[in-house]
Amino acid sequence: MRRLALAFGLLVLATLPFWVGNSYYTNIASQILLYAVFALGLNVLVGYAGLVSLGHAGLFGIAAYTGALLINSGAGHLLAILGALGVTLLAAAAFAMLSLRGTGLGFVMITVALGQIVWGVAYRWISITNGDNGVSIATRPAPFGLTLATAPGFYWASLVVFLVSLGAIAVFAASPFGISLRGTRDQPRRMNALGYHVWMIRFLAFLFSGLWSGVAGMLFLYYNQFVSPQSVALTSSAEVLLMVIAGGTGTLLGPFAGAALVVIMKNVASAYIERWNFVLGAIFVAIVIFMPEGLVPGSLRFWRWTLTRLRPRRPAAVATPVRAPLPNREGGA
Amino acid sequence: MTALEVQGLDKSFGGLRVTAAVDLAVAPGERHLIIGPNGAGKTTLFNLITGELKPDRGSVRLFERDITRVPSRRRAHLGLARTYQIITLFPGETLMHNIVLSLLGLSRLRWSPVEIAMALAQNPKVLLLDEPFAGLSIDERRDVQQLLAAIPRDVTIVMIEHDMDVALDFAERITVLHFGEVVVEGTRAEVVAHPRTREIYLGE
Repeated sequence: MRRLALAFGLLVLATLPFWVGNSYYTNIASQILLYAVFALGLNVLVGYAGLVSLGHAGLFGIAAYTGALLINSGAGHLLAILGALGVTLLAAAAFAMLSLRGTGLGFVMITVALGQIVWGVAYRWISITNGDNGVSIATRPAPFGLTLATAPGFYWASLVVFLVSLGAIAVFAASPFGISLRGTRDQPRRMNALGYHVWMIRFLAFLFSGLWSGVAGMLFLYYNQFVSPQSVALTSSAEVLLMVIAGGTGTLLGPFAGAALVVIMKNVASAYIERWNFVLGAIFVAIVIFMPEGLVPGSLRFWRWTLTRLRPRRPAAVATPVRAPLPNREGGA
Repeated sequence: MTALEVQGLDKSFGGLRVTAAVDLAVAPGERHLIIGPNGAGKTTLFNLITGELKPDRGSVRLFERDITRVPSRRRAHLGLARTYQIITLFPGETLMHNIVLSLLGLSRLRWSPVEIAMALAQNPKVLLLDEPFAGLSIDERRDVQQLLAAIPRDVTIVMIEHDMDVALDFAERITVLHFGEVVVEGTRAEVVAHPRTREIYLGE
Protein backbone atom coordinates (compact mmCIF):
# COMPACT_ATOMS: atom_id res chain seq x y z
CA MET A 1 0.00 0.00 0.00
CA ARG A 2 2.70 2.37 1.09
CA ARG A 3 5.03 1.31 -1.70
CA LEU A 4 2.22 1.56 -4.20
CA ALA A 5 1.50 5.13 -3.12
CA LEU A 6 5.19 5.94 -3.32
CA ALA A 7 5.52 4.46 -6.82
CA PHE A 8 2.40 6.30 -7.93
CA GLY A 9 3.71 9.56 -6.49
CA LEU A 10 7.02 9.11 -8.30
CA LEU A 11 5.24 8.34 -11.56
CA VAL A 12 3.10 11.47 -11.23
CA LEU A 13 6.15 13.61 -10.48
CA ALA A 14 8.27 12.12 -13.28
CA THR A 15 5.61 12.56 -15.96
CA LEU A 16 4.34 15.93 -14.73
CA PRO A 17 5.59 18.05 -17.68
CA PHE A 18 3.61 15.82 -20.09
CA TRP A 19 0.25 16.04 -18.43
CA VAL A 20 0.31 19.67 -17.29
CA GLY A 21 1.26 20.44 -20.88
CA ASN A 22 2.11 24.03 -20.16
CA SER A 23 5.48 25.50 -19.26
CA TYR A 24 3.90 27.93 -16.77
CA TYR A 25 2.70 25.11 -14.52
CA THR A 26 5.87 23.10 -15.10
CA ASN A 27 7.84 26.08 -13.83
CA ILE A 28 5.64 26.29 -10.75
CA ALA A 29 6.36 22.62 -10.11
CA SER A 30 10.10 23.37 -10.40
CA GLN A 31 9.70 26.14 -7.83
CA ILE A 32 7.88 23.76 -5.48
CA LEU A 33 10.74 21.28 -5.77
CA LEU A 34 13.45 23.86 -5.14
CA TYR A 35 11.65 25.24 -2.10
CA ALA A 36 11.01 21.68 -0.94
CA VAL A 37 14.79 21.09 -0.95
CA PHE A 38 15.23 24.31 1.05
CA ALA A 39 12.51 23.30 3.53
CA LEU A 40 13.89 19.76 3.85
CA GLY A 41 17.26 21.24 4.78
CA LEU A 42 15.74 23.58 7.34
CA ASN A 43 13.65 20.71 8.71
CA VAL A 44 16.87 18.91 9.71
CA LEU A 45 17.34 21.65 12.28
CA VAL A 46 13.73 22.51 13.13
CA GLY A 47 12.30 19.00 13.14
CA TYR A 48 15.13 16.70 14.14
CA ALA A 49 17.36 18.99 16.20
CA GLY A 50 14.60 21.14 17.71
CA LEU A 51 16.49 24.30 16.76
CA VAL A 52 14.37 26.93 15.00
CA SER A 53 16.42 28.99 12.57
CA LEU A 54 15.19 32.23 11.05
CA GLY A 55 18.43 32.87 9.20
CA HIS A 56 18.52 30.13 6.61
CA ALA A 57 17.70 32.48 3.76
CA GLY A 58 21.14 33.91 4.53
CA LEU A 59 22.76 30.55 3.68
CA PHE A 60 20.45 30.12 0.68
CA GLY A 61 21.48 33.58 -0.52
CA ILE A 62 25.18 33.05 0.12
CA ALA A 63 25.07 30.02 -2.18
CA ALA A 64 23.14 31.86 -4.88
CA TYR A 65 25.34 34.97 -4.75
CA THR A 66 28.59 32.99 -4.65
CA GLY A 67 27.44 30.88 -7.59
CA ALA A 68 26.37 33.94 -9.59
CA LEU A 69 29.58 35.84 -8.92
CA LEU A 70 31.73 32.82 -9.79
CA ILE A 71 29.86 32.26 -13.05
CA ASN A 72 30.13 35.92 -13.98
CA SER A 73 33.87 35.88 -13.30
CA GLY A 74 34.20 33.15 -15.92
CA ALA A 75 34.09 29.96 -13.84
CA GLY A 76 32.42 26.84 -15.24
CA HIS A 77 29.16 25.61 -13.78
CA LEU A 78 30.70 22.67 -11.93
CA LEU A 79 33.28 24.91 -10.28
CA ALA A 80 30.60 27.49 -9.48
CA ILE A 81 28.37 24.87 -7.84
CA LEU A 82 31.19 23.33 -5.82
CA GLY A 83 32.52 26.77 -4.85
CA ALA A 84 29.06 27.97 -3.82
CA LEU A 85 28.45 24.88 -1.70
CA GLY A 86 31.91 25.14 -0.13
CA VAL A 87 31.37 28.78 0.81
CA THR A 88 27.90 27.95 2.13
CA LEU A 89 29.34 25.22 4.33
CA LEU A 90 31.91 27.65 5.72
CA ALA A 91 29.18 30.22 6.35
CA ALA A 92 27.03 27.53 7.99
CA ALA A 93 29.95 26.64 10.25
CA ALA A 94 30.28 30.30 11.27
CA PHE A 95 26.51 30.60 11.76
CA ALA A 96 26.52 27.44 13.89
CA MET A 97 29.48 28.52 16.03
CA LEU A 98 27.72 31.77 16.89
CA SER A 99 24.10 30.64 17.17
CA LEU A 100 24.74 27.39 19.08
CA ARG A 101 25.85 29.48 22.02
CA GLY A 102 22.14 29.59 22.74
CA THR A 103 19.15 27.29 22.40
CA GLY A 104 15.46 28.13 22.15
CA LEU A 105 14.73 31.82 21.72
CA GLY A 106 18.39 32.80 21.99
CA PHE A 107 19.21 30.56 19.05
CA VAL A 108 16.35 32.04 16.99
CA MET A 109 17.45 35.62 17.67
CA ILE A 110 21.08 34.97 16.75
CA THR A 111 20.05 33.32 13.48
CA VAL A 112 17.80 36.32 12.69
CA ALA A 113 20.75 38.64 13.27
CA LEU A 114 23.09 36.54 11.11
CA GLY A 115 20.55 36.35 8.30
CA GLN A 116 20.10 40.11 8.43
CA ILE A 117 23.87 40.65 8.23
CA VAL A 118 23.91 38.65 4.99
CA TRP A 119 20.97 40.69 3.73
CA GLY A 120 22.75 43.93 4.68
CA VAL A 121 25.86 42.87 2.78
CA ALA A 122 23.80 41.91 -0.28
CA TYR A 123 21.91 45.20 -0.17
CA ARG A 124 24.71 47.61 0.67
CA TRP A 125 27.96 46.19 -0.70
CA ILE A 126 27.03 47.48 -4.11
CA SER A 127 30.44 47.15 -5.76
CA ILE A 128 30.22 43.36 -5.41
CA THR A 129 26.55 42.47 -5.10
CA ASN A 130 25.12 45.23 -7.29
CA GLY A 131 22.84 46.20 -4.40
CA ASP A 132 19.12 46.20 -4.94
CA ASN A 133 19.52 45.46 -8.67
CA GLY A 134 20.84 42.00 -7.94
CA VAL A 135 23.10 39.79 -10.02
CA SER A 136 22.06 38.04 -13.24
CA ILE A 137 23.67 35.08 -14.94
CA ALA A 138 23.48 34.38 -18.67
CA THR A 139 23.05 30.61 -18.88
CA ARG A 140 21.84 27.51 -17.13
CA PRO A 141 24.18 24.52 -17.06
CA ALA A 142 23.80 21.55 -19.43
CA PRO A 143 24.90 18.47 -17.43
CA PHE A 144 25.78 15.44 -19.61
CA GLY A 145 24.70 17.45 -22.64
CA LEU A 146 21.10 17.75 -21.44
CA THR A 147 19.81 21.26 -21.66
CA LEU A 148 18.13 22.84 -18.67
CA ALA A 149 17.05 25.88 -20.65
CA THR A 150 13.55 24.49 -21.24
CA ALA A 151 10.91 24.29 -18.53
CA PRO A 152 10.65 20.45 -18.57
CA GLY A 153 14.45 20.08 -18.65
CA PHE A 154 14.84 22.25 -15.58
CA TYR A 155 11.93 20.50 -13.89
CA TRP A 156 13.54 17.07 -14.26
CA ALA A 157 16.87 18.34 -13.00
CA SER A 158 15.11 19.80 -9.96
CA LEU A 159 13.26 16.54 -9.46
CA VAL A 160 16.55 14.62 -9.42
CA VAL A 161 18.03 17.04 -6.89
CA PHE A 162 14.88 16.87 -4.79
CA LEU A 163 14.86 13.07 -4.77
CA VAL A 164 18.55 12.95 -3.87
CA SER A 165 17.98 15.37 -0.99
CA LEU A 166 14.92 13.42 0.17
CA GLY A 167 16.89 10.17 0.09
CA ALA A 168 19.89 11.68 1.85
CA ILE A 169 17.74 13.17 4.60
CA ALA A 170 15.75 9.93 4.99
CA VAL A 171 19.00 8.00 5.46
CA PHE A 172 20.27 10.72 7.80
CA ALA A 173 17.12 10.67 9.94
CA ALA A 174 17.17 6.87 10.31
CA SER A 175 20.92 6.67 10.98
CA PRO A 176 22.37 6.39 14.50
CA PHE A 177 23.46 10.01 14.11
CA GLY A 178 19.91 11.08 13.27
CA ILE A 179 18.62 9.22 16.31
CA SER A 180 21.19 10.81 18.59
CA LEU A 181 20.24 14.20 17.10
CA ARG A 182 16.63 13.62 18.15
CA GLY A 183 17.99 12.63 21.54
CA THR A 184 19.69 16.01 21.88
CA ARG A 185 16.36 17.64 20.96
CA ASP A 186 14.35 15.81 23.64
CA GLN A 187 16.85 15.25 26.45
CA PRO A 188 20.08 17.19 25.92
CA ARG A 189 21.13 16.80 29.54
CA ARG A 190 20.69 13.07 29.53
CA MET A 191 22.45 12.74 26.18
CA ASN A 192 25.40 14.53 27.71
CA ALA A 193 25.35 12.21 30.74
CA LEU A 194 25.26 9.26 28.34
CA GLY A 195 28.52 10.49 26.86
CA TYR A 196 27.31 12.24 23.69
CA HIS A 197 28.91 15.50 22.57
CA VAL A 198 25.67 17.47 22.30
CA TRP A 199 27.25 20.60 20.84
CA MET A 200 29.12 18.67 18.15
CA ILE A 201 25.99 16.74 17.15
CA ARG A 202 24.08 20.00 16.74
CA PHE A 203 26.98 21.59 14.89
CA LEU A 204 27.17 18.76 12.34
CA ALA A 205 23.38 18.84 11.91
CA PHE A 206 23.63 22.58 11.24
CA LEU A 207 26.25 21.95 8.53
CA PHE A 208 24.08 19.27 6.92
CA SER A 209 21.08 21.58 7.03
CA GLY A 210 23.16 24.43 5.60
CA LEU A 211 24.42 22.24 2.76
CA TRP A 212 20.88 21.58 1.51
CA SER A 213 20.00 25.25 1.88
CA GLY A 214 22.98 25.92 -0.37
CA VAL A 215 21.80 23.33 -2.90
CA ALA A 216 18.38 24.99 -2.91
CA GLY A 217 20.07 28.39 -3.32
CA MET A 218 21.86 27.15 -6.44
CA LEU A 219 18.61 25.75 -7.85
CA PHE A 220 16.99 29.11 -7.17
CA LEU A 221 19.81 30.91 -8.96
CA TYR A 222 19.56 28.68 -12.01
CA TYR A 223 15.78 28.84 -12.04
CA ASN A 224 15.59 32.64 -12.00
CA GLN A 225 19.07 33.23 -13.50
CA PHE A 226 19.01 36.10 -11.05
CA VAL A 227 19.45 36.73 -7.34
CA SER A 228 18.66 39.87 -5.38
CA PRO A 229 18.62 40.91 -1.69
CA GLN A 230 14.91 40.11 -1.57
CA SER A 231 15.62 36.38 -1.61
CA VAL A 232 17.99 36.77 1.35
CA ALA A 233 15.61 38.85 3.46
CA LEU A 234 14.02 37.84 6.74
CA THR A 235 10.65 37.30 5.04
CA SER A 236 12.31 34.64 2.92
CA SER A 237 13.61 32.87 6.05
CA ALA A 238 10.17 33.13 7.64
CA GLU A 239 8.50 31.77 4.50
CA VAL A 240 10.56 28.59 4.43
CA LEU A 241 10.07 28.13 8.18
CA LEU A 242 6.33 28.39 7.62
CA MET A 243 6.60 25.73 4.90
CA VAL A 244 8.28 23.39 7.39
CA ILE A 245 5.79 24.08 10.18
CA ALA A 246 2.73 23.97 7.92
CA GLY A 247 3.82 20.72 6.29
CA GLY A 248 4.87 19.01 9.50
CA THR A 249 8.17 19.31 11.35
CA GLY A 250 10.28 16.21 11.69
CA THR A 251 8.56 14.43 8.79
CA LEU A 252 10.02 13.65 5.39
CA LEU A 253 7.11 14.72 3.19
CA GLY A 254 5.96 17.66 5.33
CA PRO A 255 8.44 20.15 3.87
CA PHE A 256 7.35 19.18 0.36
CA ALA A 257 3.68 19.68 1.23
CA GLY A 258 4.45 23.02 2.87
CA ALA A 259 6.48 24.16 -0.12
CA ALA A 260 3.68 23.14 -2.48
CA LEU A 261 1.11 25.03 -0.43
CA VAL A 262 3.10 28.27 -0.28
CA VAL A 263 4.29 28.24 -3.89
CA ILE A 264 0.84 27.43 -5.26
CA MET A 265 -0.78 30.14 -3.16
CA LYS A 266 1.83 32.62 -4.26
CA ASN A 267 1.58 31.89 -7.97
CA VAL A 268 -1.89 30.57 -8.61
CA ALA A 269 -4.09 32.17 -6.00
CA SER A 270 -2.44 35.55 -6.53
CA ALA A 271 -3.85 35.51 -10.08
CA TYR A 272 -7.38 35.54 -8.70
CA ILE A 273 -7.09 37.32 -5.39
CA GLU A 274 -5.02 40.41 -4.95
CA ARG A 275 -4.72 39.87 -1.19
CA TRP A 276 -3.40 36.31 -1.55
CA ASN A 277 -1.26 36.82 1.55
CA PHE A 278 -4.48 37.13 3.48
CA VAL A 279 -5.70 33.78 2.17
CA LEU A 280 -2.36 32.16 2.96
CA GLY A 281 -2.53 33.56 6.49
CA ALA A 282 -6.04 32.17 6.92
CA ILE A 283 -4.81 28.76 5.74
CA PHE A 284 -1.97 28.84 8.26
CA VAL A 285 -4.39 29.70 11.04
CA ALA A 286 -6.62 26.81 9.98
CA ILE A 287 -3.63 24.45 9.97
CA VAL A 288 -2.59 25.58 13.44
CA ILE A 289 -6.11 25.06 14.78
CA PHE A 290 -7.05 21.79 13.08
CA MET A 291 -3.68 20.17 12.39
CA PRO A 292 -1.17 21.66 14.83
CA GLU A 293 1.28 18.88 13.94
CA GLY A 294 1.28 19.96 10.28
CA LEU A 295 -0.44 19.02 7.03
CA VAL A 296 1.15 15.61 6.43
CA PRO A 297 0.83 14.09 9.94
CA GLY A 298 -2.52 15.84 10.37
CA SER A 299 -3.97 14.39 7.16
CA LEU A 300 -2.73 10.94 8.14
CA ARG A 301 -4.45 11.34 11.49
CA PHE A 302 -7.73 12.32 9.83
CA TRP A 303 -7.37 9.40 7.42
CA ARG A 304 -6.88 6.87 10.24
CA TRP A 305 -9.69 8.43 12.24
CA THR A 306 -12.02 8.04 9.27
CA LEU A 307 -10.95 4.42 8.83
CA THR A 308 -11.58 3.52 12.47
CA ARG A 309 -14.95 5.23 12.36
CA LEU A 310 -15.97 3.25 9.30
CA ARG A 311 -14.71 -0.18 10.34
CA PRO A 312 -17.21 -1.26 13.10
CA ARG A 313 -20.14 -0.66 10.74
CA ARG A 314 -19.00 -3.40 8.41
CA PRO A 315 -20.83 -6.69 9.02
CA ALA A 316 -17.65 -8.80 9.08
CA ALA A 317 -15.89 -6.49 11.52
CA VAL A 318 -14.16 -8.05 14.51
CA ALA A 319 -15.61 -7.16 17.91
CA THR A 320 -14.05 -4.03 19.31
CA PRO A 321 -11.23 -4.81 21.75
CA VAL A 322 -11.89 -4.16 25.44
CA ARG A 323 -9.10 -1.69 25.70
CA ALA A 324 -8.71 0.56 22.70
CA PRO A 325 -5.13 0.86 21.46
CA LEU A 326 -3.36 3.81 22.97
CA PRO A 327 -3.19 6.75 20.62
CA ASN A 328 0.33 7.01 19.35
CA ARG A 329 2.04 10.23 18.59
CA GLU A 330 1.68 10.79 14.88
CA GLY A 331 5.03 9.79 13.44
CA GLY A 332 6.79 10.75 10.27
CA ALA A 333 5.27 9.99 6.92
CA MET B 1 42.27 1.91 45.70
CA THR B 2 38.92 3.65 45.56
CA ALA B 3 36.38 3.43 42.77
CA LEU B 4 35.05 6.89 43.51
CA GLU B 5 36.54 9.48 45.78
CA VAL B 6 35.27 12.96 46.54
CA GLN B 7 37.30 15.42 48.56
CA GLY B 8 36.25 18.74 50.05
CA LEU B 9 33.48 19.35 47.52
CA ASP B 10 31.92 22.79 47.89
CA LYS B 11 29.05 24.17 45.85
CA SER B 12 27.00 27.28 46.49
CA PHE B 13 24.04 28.65 44.56
CA GLY B 14 24.31 32.34 45.36
CA GLY B 15 24.34 32.53 49.15
CA LEU B 16 23.02 29.01 49.62
CA ARG B 17 25.75 26.50 50.37
CA VAL B 18 24.38 23.26 48.92
CA THR B 19 27.35 21.01 49.61
CA ALA B 20 29.96 21.95 52.19
CA ALA B 21 33.34 20.20 52.15
CA VAL B 22 31.80 16.84 51.32
CA ASP B 23 34.16 13.85 51.50
CA LEU B 24 33.21 10.46 50.16
CA ALA B 25 35.22 7.33 49.44
CA VAL B 26 33.69 4.29 47.77
CA ALA B 27 35.66 1.05 47.35
CA PRO B 28 35.39 -0.99 44.13
CA GLY B 29 32.31 -3.22 44.17
CA GLU B 30 30.84 -1.48 47.20
CA ARG B 31 27.11 -0.73 47.59
CA HIS B 32 27.08 2.73 49.07
CA LEU B 33 23.96 4.56 50.20
CA ILE B 34 23.68 8.33 50.60
CA ILE B 35 20.74 9.33 52.71
CA GLY B 36 19.47 12.66 53.93
CA PRO B 37 16.24 14.63 54.13
CA ASN B 38 14.93 16.57 51.14
CA GLY B 39 17.20 19.48 50.38
CA ALA B 40 20.26 17.86 51.96
CA GLY B 41 22.21 18.26 48.71
CA LYS B 42 22.10 14.65 47.54
CA THR B 43 21.20 15.24 43.92
CA THR B 44 23.58 18.22 43.76
CA LEU B 45 26.34 15.89 44.92
CA PHE B 46 25.48 13.54 42.03
CA ASN B 47 25.50 16.43 39.60
CA LEU B 48 28.94 17.43 40.85
CA ILE B 49 30.23 13.88 40.52
CA THR B 50 28.94 13.52 36.95
CA GLY B 51 30.14 17.00 36.01
CA GLU B 52 26.73 18.43 35.21
CA LEU B 53 27.62 21.05 37.80
CA LYS B 54 31.07 22.50 38.41
CA PRO B 55 32.22 22.55 42.05
CA ASP B 56 33.48 25.77 43.63
CA ARG B 57 36.19 23.79 45.41
CA GLY B 58 37.26 20.20 45.87
CA SER B 59 38.03 17.23 43.65
CA VAL B 60 36.41 14.13 42.21
CA ARG B 61 38.44 11.01 41.43
CA LEU B 62 37.39 7.94 39.48
CA PHE B 63 39.72 4.99 40.13
CA GLU B 64 42.41 7.40 41.41
CA ARG B 65 42.17 9.54 38.29
CA ASP B 66 41.32 13.20 38.91
CA ILE B 67 38.25 13.94 36.76
CA THR B 68 37.28 17.27 38.33
CA ARG B 69 37.94 19.12 35.07
CA VAL B 70 36.87 16.36 32.70
CA PRO B 71 33.65 17.23 30.78
CA SER B 72 30.68 15.15 31.84
CA ARG B 73 30.30 13.36 28.50
CA ARG B 74 33.93 12.17 28.84
CA ARG B 75 33.21 10.92 32.35
CA ALA B 76 30.52 8.71 30.85
CA HIS B 77 33.17 7.16 28.60
CA LEU B 78 35.37 6.58 31.65
CA GLY B 79 32.70 4.35 33.15
CA LEU B 80 30.47 6.67 35.16
CA ALA B 81 26.73 6.24 34.60
CA ARG B 82 23.73 7.66 36.37
CA THR B 83 19.97 7.45 36.51
CA TYR B 84 17.63 10.37 36.96
CA GLN B 85 14.83 10.74 39.39
CA ILE B 86 11.89 10.72 37.03
CA ILE B 87 9.21 13.15 37.98
CA THR B 88 8.34 14.26 34.46
CA LEU B 89 5.57 13.00 32.24
CA PHE B 90 6.45 11.16 29.10
CA PRO B 91 7.58 13.85 26.73
CA GLY B 92 6.38 13.40 23.19
CA GLU B 93 3.41 11.29 24.20
CA THR B 94 -0.10 12.61 24.14
CA LEU B 95 -1.79 13.88 27.25
CA MET B 96 -4.30 11.05 26.97
CA HIS B 97 -1.51 8.53 26.73
CA ASN B 98 0.07 9.90 29.91
CA ILE B 99 -3.20 9.79 31.78
CA VAL B 100 -3.95 6.26 30.60
CA LEU B 101 -0.48 5.18 31.67
CA SER B 102 -0.94 6.69 35.11
CA LEU B 103 -4.36 5.09 35.45
CA LEU B 104 -2.92 1.72 34.57
CA GLY B 105 -0.20 2.37 37.12
CA LEU B 106 2.41 1.84 34.47
CA SER B 107 4.38 4.99 34.71
CA ARG B 108 6.70 4.29 37.62
CA LEU B 109 6.66 0.53 37.43
CA ARG B 110 7.83 0.58 33.89
CA TRP B 111 10.09 3.53 34.21
CA SER B 112 12.43 2.94 37.11
CA PRO B 113 13.80 -0.34 35.69
CA VAL B 114 14.09 1.36 32.29
CA GLU B 115 16.21 4.07 33.90
CA ILE B 116 18.48 1.46 35.46
CA ALA B 117 18.63 -0.55 32.24
CA MET B 118 19.62 2.57 30.28
CA ALA B 119 22.46 3.20 32.69
CA LEU B 120 23.57 -0.46 32.70
CA ALA B 121 23.56 -0.50 28.91
CA GLN B 122 26.60 1.77 29.06
CA ASN B 123 28.50 -1.01 30.85
CA PRO B 124 29.51 1.32 33.68
CA LYS B 125 32.15 0.79 36.33
CA VAL B 126 30.45 3.15 38.76
CA LEU B 127 26.66 3.47 38.74
CA LEU B 128 24.90 6.36 40.44
CA LEU B 129 21.21 5.77 41.22
CA ASP B 130 19.05 8.75 42.07
CA GLU B 131 16.13 7.56 44.23
CA PRO B 132 15.19 4.48 42.18
CA PHE B 133 12.44 3.61 44.70
CA ALA B 134 10.71 6.99 44.78
CA GLY B 135 6.97 6.70 44.18
CA LEU B 136 6.93 2.91 43.80
CA SER B 137 4.45 0.54 45.43
CA ILE B 138 5.73 -2.19 47.76
CA ASP B 139 5.58 -4.84 45.03
CA GLU B 140 7.34 -2.62 42.57
CA ARG B 141 10.04 -1.88 45.11
CA ARG B 142 10.69 -5.57 45.46
CA ASP B 143 11.12 -5.86 41.69
CA VAL B 144 13.65 -3.04 41.65
CA GLN B 145 15.46 -4.53 44.68
CA GLN B 146 15.80 -7.84 42.82
CA LEU B 147 17.03 -6.01 39.76
CA LEU B 148 19.70 -4.23 41.81
CA ALA B 149 20.75 -7.45 43.57
CA ALA B 150 21.39 -9.01 40.16
CA ILE B 151 23.93 -6.37 39.15
CA PRO B 152 27.39 -7.99 39.23
CA ARG B 153 29.98 -6.96 41.78
CA ASP B 154 32.34 -5.43 39.27
CA VAL B 155 29.90 -2.52 39.14
CA THR B 156 30.26 -0.15 42.07
CA ILE B 157 26.92 1.37 43.08
CA VAL B 158 26.15 4.61 44.85
CA MET B 159 22.49 5.19 45.61
CA ILE B 160 20.62 8.24 46.86
CA GLU B 161 17.53 7.74 48.95
CA HIS B 162 15.71 10.00 51.35
CA ASP B 163 13.71 7.19 52.90
CA MET B 164 16.28 5.16 54.82
CA ASP B 165 14.16 2.04 55.37
CA VAL B 166 13.65 1.31 51.70
CA ALA B 167 17.28 0.94 50.80
CA LEU B 168 18.76 -0.28 54.07
CA ASP B 169 19.11 -3.91 52.96
CA PHE B 170 21.01 -2.81 49.92
CA ALA B 171 23.61 -0.69 51.69
CA GLU B 172 26.98 -1.82 52.95
CA ARG B 173 28.20 1.62 53.86
CA ILE B 174 26.07 4.68 54.42
CA THR B 175 26.74 8.41 54.31
CA VAL B 176 24.24 10.71 55.97
CA LEU B 177 24.01 14.16 54.40
CA HIS B 178 22.31 17.03 56.18
CA PHE B 179 22.27 20.66 55.00
CA GLY B 180 25.08 19.83 52.59
CA GLU B 181 27.40 18.35 55.19
CA VAL B 182 28.44 14.78 55.88
CA VAL B 183 27.05 14.15 59.37
CA VAL B 184 27.69 10.43 59.78
CA GLU B 185 29.65 7.98 57.69
CA GLY B 186 30.22 4.27 58.32
CA THR B 187 28.91 0.75 57.98
CA ARG B 188 25.19 0.13 58.01
CA ALA B 189 25.18 -0.93 61.68
CA GLU B 190 27.28 2.04 62.76
CA VAL B 191 25.14 4.57 60.99
CA VAL B 192 21.84 3.11 62.14
CA ALA B 193 23.04 3.11 65.74
CA HIS B 194 24.49 6.62 65.59
CA PRO B 195 22.60 9.20 67.69
CA ARG B 196 22.93 11.91 65.01
CA THR B 197 21.17 9.70 62.47
CA ARG B 198 18.24 9.27 64.83
CA GLU B 199 18.19 12.97 65.52
CA ILE B 200 17.93 13.87 61.85
CA TYR B 201 15.44 11.17 60.99
CA LEU B 202 13.28 11.18 64.06
CA GLY B 203 13.74 14.78 65.12
CA GLU B 204 14.74 13.75 68.64
